[in-house]
Amino acid sequence: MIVCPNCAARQLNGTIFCAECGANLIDSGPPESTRELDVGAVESHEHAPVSGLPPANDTQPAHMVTLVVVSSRRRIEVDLSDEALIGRADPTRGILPDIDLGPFGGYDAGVSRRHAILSYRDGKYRVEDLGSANGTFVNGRQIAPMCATPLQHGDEIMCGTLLLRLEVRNRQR
Amino acid sequence: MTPGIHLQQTLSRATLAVGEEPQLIYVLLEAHAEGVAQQLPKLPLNLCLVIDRSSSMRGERLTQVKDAAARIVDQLGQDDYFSLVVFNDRADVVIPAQRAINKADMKAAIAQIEAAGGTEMAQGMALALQEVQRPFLTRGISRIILLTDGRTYGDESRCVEIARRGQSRGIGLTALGIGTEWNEDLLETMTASENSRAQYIATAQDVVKVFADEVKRLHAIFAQQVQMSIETRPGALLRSLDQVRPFIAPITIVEEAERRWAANLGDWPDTGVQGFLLEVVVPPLPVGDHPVLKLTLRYHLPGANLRDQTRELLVRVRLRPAEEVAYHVDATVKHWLERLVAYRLQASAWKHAAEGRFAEASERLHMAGTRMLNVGDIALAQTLQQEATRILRNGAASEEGRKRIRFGTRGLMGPVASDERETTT
Repeated sequence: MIVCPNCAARQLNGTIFCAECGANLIDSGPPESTRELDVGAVESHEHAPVSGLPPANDTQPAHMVTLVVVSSRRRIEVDLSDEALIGRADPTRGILPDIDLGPFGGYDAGVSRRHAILSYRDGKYRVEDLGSANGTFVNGRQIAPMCATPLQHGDEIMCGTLLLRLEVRNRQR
Repeated sequence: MTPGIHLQQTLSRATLAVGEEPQLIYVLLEAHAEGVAQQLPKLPLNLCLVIDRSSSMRGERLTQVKDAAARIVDQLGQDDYFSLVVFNDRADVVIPAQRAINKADMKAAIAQIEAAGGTEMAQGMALALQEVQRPFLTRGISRIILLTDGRTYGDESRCVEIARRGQSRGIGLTALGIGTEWNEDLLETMTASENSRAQYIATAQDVVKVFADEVKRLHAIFAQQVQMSIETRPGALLRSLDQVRPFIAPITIVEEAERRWAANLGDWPDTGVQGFLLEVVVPPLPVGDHPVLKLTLRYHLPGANLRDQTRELLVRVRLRPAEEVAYHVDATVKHWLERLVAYRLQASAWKHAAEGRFAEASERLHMAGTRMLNVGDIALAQTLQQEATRILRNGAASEEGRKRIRFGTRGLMGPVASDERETTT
């Protein structure tokens, strides 16, 4: 059992959003079991106002982004605390990219094994093509290889013909 | 490739830790047509348009609706049937059911519609049901598209009754509300059935696109009477089943027998993806791979003269010792679940509000706003926050805000976001 930190309802292990109040039960860390949980702390939360815009437990650090594979709506969560290699896994050559587009039709779409680098530094997201065979496009325009191009929330990145969309959670509103 | 439906499953967690307690997993089921587009002929359409021409429709609204109706006529083929009914205090058949051949005459008749009078929807629905049942189709899709901007008084129950009668004969209903005055409870009740849905058109400019999209979608239907049956292993429990793509819709599941559930999923177009989210309680199980659900999809492919086609899918869970399992949740499953949770929260908010529990209602709307913000719908998140404040202060949400929330959380506001599946990329 998990106890919802927002409304103290008891929920089954594996629950993602509390069935009573809708609070996120997973982004605040691994679920805690009833045995380990400090009940006092939970009860002190009971009358806290329901989170507004945006709630503390749902803000994601800026280096956590999501790439959406547009054709299949698959979502890939990416940690950019270090730069991430976009490509296609080839275990025989020892290439294991951080963002493996193989399972998303990367081969047919012409994604190179080492296609591009996605990074986050000094508050800016960037993508850099690594001289891939079929190129990288940002919002429909091909970017020069070996040259980091800035990105924003909602930008479309096309690797070969595979279209991805960048989603940044804690963007400025 | 044999035409049919392709099924794909994604679990919220790929691997579960062994434990003594039951656990919850979410299963995202996505279905799309395979091998169909090139092989099957289009099914003929039998469409009846029911237009509210009460005086409140005068001006921009009626102009856009007439324009939209004329474009529908253009979209129809020679095998399609079309009829048009208008209503105010009374109802009239403007175009009796006929093949869409003499398009110029049809459009001339549409051009002459004028706005006047009140709103009595049941008469319009009754005439529409009569018209839509005139053509004799051995196979095809019969549909009533209703558009209204106002409240009908006193004949609500008759409207529902007529809608149900049609639905029981395989005639679906698309109910479109325009503006802020119409009764969303009524339209939602009338369309609470497979093959039916209500949609909110916030601005008149969207009418043409909404109509055109609907006709396109109806033309793309390839599978009919899709049914799902779900068998669970002993100890496992199906807690819920909801449609999440292309829009959110709760689905009625019936426990037909011990550990066997069934649901009707209606007719499906061959464009886009039908997505469903299942909540499944998994009993404590030892280390190993265990089947928990057997899903069977049964459907007809009238275009290929194939009946009772079936597809099966076995859903297995992998259990490993707790120390070997990292807690990781699939981002795609979480995304669709988050939208569904927002929809459920707002539904529960209206229930609380009706009981006078405004603090709880406001909390639910706030949390729904948080969920919508996380899935990236900032405009709707803001509406939810505003109405949460309003309900706390005034004890009621605004007419427009409530409609935006009820239909927006389902993905049924304005032109529905295209959910096409590109197979080429």
